[in-house]
Amino acid sequence: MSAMLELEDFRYSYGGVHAVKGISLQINEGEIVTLIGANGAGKSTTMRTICGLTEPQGVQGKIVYKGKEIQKLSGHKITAMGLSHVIEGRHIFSKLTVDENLEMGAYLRKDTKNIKADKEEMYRLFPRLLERKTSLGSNLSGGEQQMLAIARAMMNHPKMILLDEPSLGLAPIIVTEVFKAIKRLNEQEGITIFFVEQNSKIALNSAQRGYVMQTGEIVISGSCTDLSNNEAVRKAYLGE
Amino acid sequence: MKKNVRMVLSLLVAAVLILGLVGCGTSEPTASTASAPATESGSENALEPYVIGAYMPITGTNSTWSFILERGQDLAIEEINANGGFNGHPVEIIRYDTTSSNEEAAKIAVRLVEVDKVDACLPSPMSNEIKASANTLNNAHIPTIVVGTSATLLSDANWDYVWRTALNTDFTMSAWESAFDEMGVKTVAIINSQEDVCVAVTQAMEELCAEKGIEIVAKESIDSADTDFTAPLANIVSAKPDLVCSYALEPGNVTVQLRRLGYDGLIIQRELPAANDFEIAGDDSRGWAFPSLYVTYTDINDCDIPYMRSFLEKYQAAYGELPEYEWVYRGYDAVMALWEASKIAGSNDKEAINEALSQVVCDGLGGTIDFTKSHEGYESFGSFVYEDGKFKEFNTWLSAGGYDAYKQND
Amino acid sequence: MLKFVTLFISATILGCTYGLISLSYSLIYKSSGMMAFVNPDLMTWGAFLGFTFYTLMGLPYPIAVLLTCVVMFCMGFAIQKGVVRNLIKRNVTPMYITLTMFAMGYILQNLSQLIFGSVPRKFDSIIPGLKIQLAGIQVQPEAIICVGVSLLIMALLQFFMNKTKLGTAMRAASMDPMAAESVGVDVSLISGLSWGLSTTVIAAAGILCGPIYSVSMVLGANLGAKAFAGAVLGGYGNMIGAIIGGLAMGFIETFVSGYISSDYKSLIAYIVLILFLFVKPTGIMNERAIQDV
Repeated sequence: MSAMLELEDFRYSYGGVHAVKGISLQINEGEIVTLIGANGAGKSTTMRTICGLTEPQGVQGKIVYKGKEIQKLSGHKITAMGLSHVIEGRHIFSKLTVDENLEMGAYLRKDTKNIKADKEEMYRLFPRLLERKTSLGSNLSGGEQQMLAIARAMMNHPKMILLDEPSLGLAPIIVTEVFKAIKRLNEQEGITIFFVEQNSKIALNSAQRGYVMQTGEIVISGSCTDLSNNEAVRKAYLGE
Repeated sequence: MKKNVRMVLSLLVAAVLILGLVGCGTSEPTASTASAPATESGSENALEPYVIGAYMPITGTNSTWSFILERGQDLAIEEINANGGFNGHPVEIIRYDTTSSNEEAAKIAVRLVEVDKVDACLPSPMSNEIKASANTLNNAHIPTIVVGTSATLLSDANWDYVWRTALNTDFTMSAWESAFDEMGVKTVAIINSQEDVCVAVTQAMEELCAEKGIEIVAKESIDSADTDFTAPLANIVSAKPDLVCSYALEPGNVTVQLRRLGYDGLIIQRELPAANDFEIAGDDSRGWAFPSLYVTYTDINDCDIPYMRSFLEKYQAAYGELPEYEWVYRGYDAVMALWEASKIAGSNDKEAINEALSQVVCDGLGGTIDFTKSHEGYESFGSFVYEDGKFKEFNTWLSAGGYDAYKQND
Repeated sequence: MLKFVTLFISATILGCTYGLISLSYSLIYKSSGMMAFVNPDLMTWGAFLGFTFYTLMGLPYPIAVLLTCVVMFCMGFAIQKGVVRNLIKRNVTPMYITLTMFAMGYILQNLSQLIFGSVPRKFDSIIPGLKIQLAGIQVQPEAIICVGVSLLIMALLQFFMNKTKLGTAMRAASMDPMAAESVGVDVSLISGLSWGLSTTVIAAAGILCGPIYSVSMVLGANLGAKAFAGAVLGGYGNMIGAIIGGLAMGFIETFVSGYISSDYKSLIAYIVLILFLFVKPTGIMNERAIQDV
């Protein structure tokens, strides 16, 4: 199992604030890995930077994807490399329909013939979206929007998907559904998944390995089973 | 870091805005002291110069032709200094820029009186700037010669010390008095813009028509800044007037659109249009008729008036081209009339010169300048029509059957 | 009847010009979310450049138009990259961006005066000597070209924005730049292209109406202000709305001044603007742009 995505002594600062103070982590092919921590720990900043959505000036250290350094690249280039992202707050195209959103997901693809087939595949994986095929993005519920964002990310035929706080603003039942879908993608389609999550419980239940971040640093890491049984983690993040 | 950038940015924006306001003229006026071209006689440097203060819109929206006004003034001063100056004293001129602002003109007048203590003054040709500033000059008893054309400029204010050596648009109607009769005009349409000078001449035309029993079949007003005049012009054309009076500040576009709508008759202008008006109107400027003291020429051989021709030769020798706008003549005339007064007075004292001005009868570029009857130097003058690329004297053209021929060519 | 036809033809020409200008306003709003106040001055630039290439340098008309479009496209792109993007990066308040746009407009206007002079110039006839009769009215061939090309540009733009990949990318980038970036759209490049496109459209408007209204410094300012009203009328930010609004504006202005009073010619545009801002800010096409602002 080779490292697909690696962070080497990654730092990020902006406006004089050191949001991330030097972290290293690695995600191997085929894994589901999570990064958890309290609000303001720096997880989202880390994720956004990996996705190429922050100012490159603040970056120090390396982010390596399949052997290539990507820390200074902008978002669209990273997507083009096969690293799709699902951003915090979902960000679907509100004035486009579900179907058009999926089309947009395939923006970079040149093989137009297969796009239709892939859409069908997405509708199979996310039946709810099939029902709402012609609805405008703004008319979907939070959970449906999240599914759409993930499906859209899939349309790019990515090797890896990054998710920034997928449970944000969703009801618990919906959250469970969303994470079921994420696990399906990993198990059935073989997509490597790395996600940042506020909801530590569902995170540790869904992923295989995890990292815990606190005030810009990684304080502990390991398999999710181990992390779930860890005293400190349980106290701080699982509310026990 | 962000705060600094924000501050710098806001300072930058503020600076740009302030520069913009400055451009509109809220700062102190700064002079461009232009000493008149040097004279030959060396003993003059012992004598105090006769100082003339001048101001005009050198920058701003009305600035296009100020440079030519300056040239007219300079040519006159050069000639005067080569021929004894004002009673032996060399003439110097101090210039200020009104930046096309009336407020600035007012400030400049105060400065000329109190700081520069000028002996005489040549204000801006813009009627509104004159109105804003001439009171100051008059109250200080400074002999002032204006070259603005608005009719009511002098008659409204009754200044003792202010005289005019340019066209008074009120008197322009005299050019049409007999012409309208001879042409057999029964109906007239007027289109005018809102500036004072245009409104004034419109009123004068309306009075003339009322006097003669000529019906005004259409009267439309327009905004000078606008570009499409089809609607008002359509109204005019459908009223089928014998004549159209176009009293707009810039006649080019109006004429082109008027012609396009099918009107081929004469178009009366309020004064000689500028060279670029002719450029814009192109062939459609055929049939432009206007009252004027003088015209501008593109070829010196077209000029058949001897004193004008010799002036044009002087201008060409100094600047390598012929003048494009008649402001140059106004500038020249104003200074020359002042000089004549100095000769009559025998002294450069302000009161003496002002008294002498009331006795001036001399040759100007537009004919005879005569201040004995009133402060208006030119009370009567001719008119011209533009045909075949040439300016033709109107009444001559009329009597020779030009108008009949023109109508037939439509 | 003749008068009606005359007014109708003239209103169409004016309306098409307004339509193009309104389109450029909407394009910039759609792509950067800001109300651009530089457009009128860019239009003057377009007209003067076209005049320089065609009348002064004597290049054939299509080449002059092409050159002008290329130069103006680069200018728009440069403005977006150099000025707008930097402002957005530094997270300044929208107020600063608006002020900067005003400043830019002022700079452009004065540069134009310096380079081209402040005197109105005549744009030579494209097809000299040709006079066309339309329903008894003499019409300039340039007017027909203006209307024809305007409609063509509008149609092309609609097609471009809705049916091509690049156009879709532009719409996506304006809807949600982060989402667009995530699906692989180079938002930075696209924004520059949007500005360049908008500038080209308005430069085209300038060149097209140059021969009809003559080229002067105030060309852009005068038409731009009324076209802005047209954009609001149609729904600010909406492409179809811009076209409808611009055309409507041309007709309202021409017919009001033709049948009611020419005194209201310019005033009517501002009356319409205020009316719509108060009563229906979303315009005819119900575009939410102004409500959000």
